[in-house]
Amino acid sequence: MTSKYMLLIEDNPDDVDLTLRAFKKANVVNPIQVARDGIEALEFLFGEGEHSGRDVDDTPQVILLDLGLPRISGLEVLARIRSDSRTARLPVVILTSSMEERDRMQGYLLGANSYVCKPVETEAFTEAVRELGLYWMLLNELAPTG
Amino acid sequence: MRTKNPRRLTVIGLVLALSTLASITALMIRGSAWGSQTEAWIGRTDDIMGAADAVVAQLQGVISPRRAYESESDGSLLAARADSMSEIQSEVDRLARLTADNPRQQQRVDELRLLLDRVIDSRHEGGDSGEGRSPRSEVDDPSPAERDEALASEVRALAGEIRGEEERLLDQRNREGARSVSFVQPLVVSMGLVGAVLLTAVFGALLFEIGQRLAAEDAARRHAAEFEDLYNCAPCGYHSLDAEGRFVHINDTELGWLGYAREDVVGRLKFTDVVTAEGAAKFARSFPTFLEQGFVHDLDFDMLRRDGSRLAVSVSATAIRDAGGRHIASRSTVFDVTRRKRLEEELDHIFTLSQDLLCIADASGVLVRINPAWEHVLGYSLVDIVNRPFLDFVHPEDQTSTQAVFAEQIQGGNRITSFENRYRAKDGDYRVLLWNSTPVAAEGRVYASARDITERKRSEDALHSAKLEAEAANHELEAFSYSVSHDLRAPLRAIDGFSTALLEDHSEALGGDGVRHLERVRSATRRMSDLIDDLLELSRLSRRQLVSSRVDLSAIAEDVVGQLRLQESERSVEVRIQTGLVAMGDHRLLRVVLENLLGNAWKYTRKTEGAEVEMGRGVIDGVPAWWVRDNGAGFDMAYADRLFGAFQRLHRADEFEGTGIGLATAQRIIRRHGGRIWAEAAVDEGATFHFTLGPQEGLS
Repeated sequence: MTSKYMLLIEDNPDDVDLTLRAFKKANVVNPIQVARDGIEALEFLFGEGEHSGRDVDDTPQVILLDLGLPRISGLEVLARIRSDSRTARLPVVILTSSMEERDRMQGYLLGANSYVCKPVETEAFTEAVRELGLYWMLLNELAPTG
Repeated sequence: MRTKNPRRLTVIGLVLALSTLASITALMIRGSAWGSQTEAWIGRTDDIMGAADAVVAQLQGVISPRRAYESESDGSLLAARADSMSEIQSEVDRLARLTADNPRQQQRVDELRLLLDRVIDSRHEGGDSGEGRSPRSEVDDPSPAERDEALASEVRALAGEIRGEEERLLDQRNREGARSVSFVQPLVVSMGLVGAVLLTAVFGALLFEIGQRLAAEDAARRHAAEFEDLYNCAPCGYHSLDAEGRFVHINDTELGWLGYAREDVVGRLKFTDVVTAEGAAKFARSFPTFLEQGFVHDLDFDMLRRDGSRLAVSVSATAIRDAGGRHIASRSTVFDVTRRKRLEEELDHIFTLSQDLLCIADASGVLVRINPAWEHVLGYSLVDIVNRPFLDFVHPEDQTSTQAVFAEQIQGGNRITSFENRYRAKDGDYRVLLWNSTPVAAEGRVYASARDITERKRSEDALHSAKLEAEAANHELEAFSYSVSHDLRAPLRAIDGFSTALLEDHSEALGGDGVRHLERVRSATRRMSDLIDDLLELSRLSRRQLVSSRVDLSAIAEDVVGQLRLQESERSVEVRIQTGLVAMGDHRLLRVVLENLLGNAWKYTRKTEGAEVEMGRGVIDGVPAWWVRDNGAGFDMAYADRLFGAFQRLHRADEFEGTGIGLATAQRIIRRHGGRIWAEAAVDEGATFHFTLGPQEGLS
C-alpha cells in the first residue's frame, strides 16, 4: 500500500460495513485496512503473524479504534501502539459506542488523539464518519518520520 | 524528766540553804561559848590579881607586927601576925589553884611560898632567923627588920610578876578573841548572804512550780471541757449503759436524734425503750456474743424517736467488766445510717432494674455480686452464676482476650470501654456482650456493666452483608451500564444503519408500505436509543460524587431556557425567572434538575395558548424551597405518586414525547442533596414543582 490509508480496528461486522458505507457515501476513497480484533491490529502494525513481512514503515494515516474488542481491549491496543517507537506518533481516534467517562478519561490518558462516540442514528453516524475522513485524511499532517 | 531536774535542784538548794543556816548557828554558838570563856578568863584573872594583891596586903600585917614586937614585944601583936600569915597562906593556896594550868605561874607561886616561908622562919628564929636565906642579907648582915623589908619587896615583886603575867595573858586572850571575831564576822555575813540567795532561789523555784501546777490544772480543766464538748457534739451518738441497760451517759447528738432531754433519759430509760421491737430482738440475739467477746460491731437496726419515727442506726458497743469479769456497764457508738441505707436502696433498685448485666468481680475473677439481668439474658438462675469465675461462661475463643483485659485492669487499674466477648447462655447459645468496666484497686475489685448486643450484632451482620450485596449490585449495575452503553447501542445502530441502507438503495423494491414500515423501525430504534441514553444518565448521576458549592440557579435557568428557545425557536413562551436565586449544591447536577423541570414546563405548554413558565423561591417549613410553574397540560393529582418513578409517564407518547426518566433523575439528584421534590397540578391547569435542597449552610 503506497497511498494514504486508514486502519479500522472493529470487531463488529455490522459496524465495519456501516463505516465503510459511510466513507463511501462521503466520497472518501482512500483504502481502509480493517482489523477484526486487537491482536490482528497489532500484528498488522508490527508485521507479525498473519502480516509478517509487511513493511512496517508503511503506517496508516489514522487509526480508528473501537474499544469493546475481543481478546485484548481497545485501550490495551492503544497502550501498545503508544509504547512502540514505530507507532507512538500515529494518530489514533477512538471510535466507540461507549460514552462512559471512565473510557474517555482512560483513552486520553493513554494518548488518544480524539474520542468520537458513534451515534446510533444513521444520518448522524454517516456525518461523523465523513467528517473524520475529511479531517484525518486530508487536513491533518502527520508527525515527521525518523 | 524535765520537771525532775528543777525539783532536784530545788531540794539541793533547800538543803544547801539549811546547811548554811546550821553553819551560821554553829558559828554563833561557838562565838557565845567563847564569850563566856573570855568572861571566865577575865574573872579568873581578876581573882588571881586579887589574890596576888591580898598576899601583898597581908604581908604588911606580918612584917609590921614583927617591928612592933621588936619594939614593944607585945603578945597581941603576935597573934595578929599569925592571922595575917594564915591569910597569906590561904591566898597563896588560891593562887596555886587558880594558876594550876600555867606552869610558869605555878613556878612563881612556889617561889612565893618559899619567900613567905623565909619570912615566917625569920620570925621564929629571932635574930638569925634569916641566916642563909638571902645572899644579900648574908653579905650585908642586915637587921631583921631590914630583912623583912627585903623579903617583903621580893614578895611584892613576885606578886607583881604574877599579876603582870595574868594581865599579859588577859591582853593576849583579848587580842585572840578580837582576831577570831574579825574572822568569824565576814564568814557569818557571807554565809548569811549565800543562805539568803539560796532561799530566794528555792522560793522562786517553788513559786514557779506552783505557777506551772496552776497552769496545768487550768489546762486540764480546759481539756476536760473540750472533751466534754467533743463527746457531746460528735457526729455520732455516744452513750453508756449500766448492767441493766439503763442510760448512764448520753451525748447531745444522740439526744438530738431521739428528741429527748437528758434528764428524761439518764437513769430513767433503758436502751431497749428507744429501739424498735425488731431492733430490740436483734439486739437481744447479739447480746450473748457481746457478753462473750466483750464487743459488738456495726449492728444495724432502727431506733425509735420520741415522736415515734424511726432512725436507722449502726451501733458498736464495748462491754465494761469489773475485776471479777462481771458485766457492769457498756459504752456504745451510734451512727445515723439513714443516708447510707437510702443509697443502698437506690443502688439496689438500679441494680435490680438495669437491663444491662451488672456485676462485681474480685481480683481472681469470681463474680461476687450480679444483678437479675444475668438471669434474663443468659437464662441461668443467679445462684448458678454468683461466686463462680466469670471465665466459666466465656466462649472458649474469647477466654484469652478476656483474661488479658481483666489482668490489665487488675494490674494496671485501667478502665475498659467497649470490650466485646461472648457468654454461654443456659440454652447453649452464646450471647455477645459489650463491656464497660472499672477496677477499684484498693478493693481489689472490678465493677462491670455489659450490654447484650447479640441482636445488634446480628443486625449489623445483616446490614454488612446487605451492604456487600449492594456494593456487588452496584458493580453489576456499572457493568450493566457499560454493556448498555456499548453493546446495546451497536445493534441499534446496525438496525438503523441497514434500514437506512434499504431505504436508500431499495426504496423502489420495498414499495410505499415497505418504506413506511422501515421508517417505523427507525423511529423505534431512535426511541430505544433515547431510553438507553436517559437510563445511563440516571445511573451516572446516581453514582456521581456530589461537589457542593454556591450555585446561581437563576443564571442556570436562563441558560437552559435559552437552549430551549434555540431548539424550538418558533415557540413563544413567556418565561419569568426570579433573579438572585442561589443555592448550595452540585452545580452540574442542579443544572440537570433545572433542565428536566424547565424542559418539562416547556414541553407541556406546547399546546397552551399564552404559555407561561415561571421560576421562584419561597420558604416552606423554615427552609428555602424553589419552584418551577407552568400553565400547561398539568396532570391528575391521583397519579402524582407515579410522577417520579423511572419510565412512568402520565401522558401518551403521541401527546407528549419522553422517556419518563427525567423526573426520576431530578428526584434522585434532589434526594442526594438532602432535599425533596413534590408537585401540585391539575389537568389543563398547569403544574408547579417545588423542591428543597437540604441544609443550606455556607449560603450567605
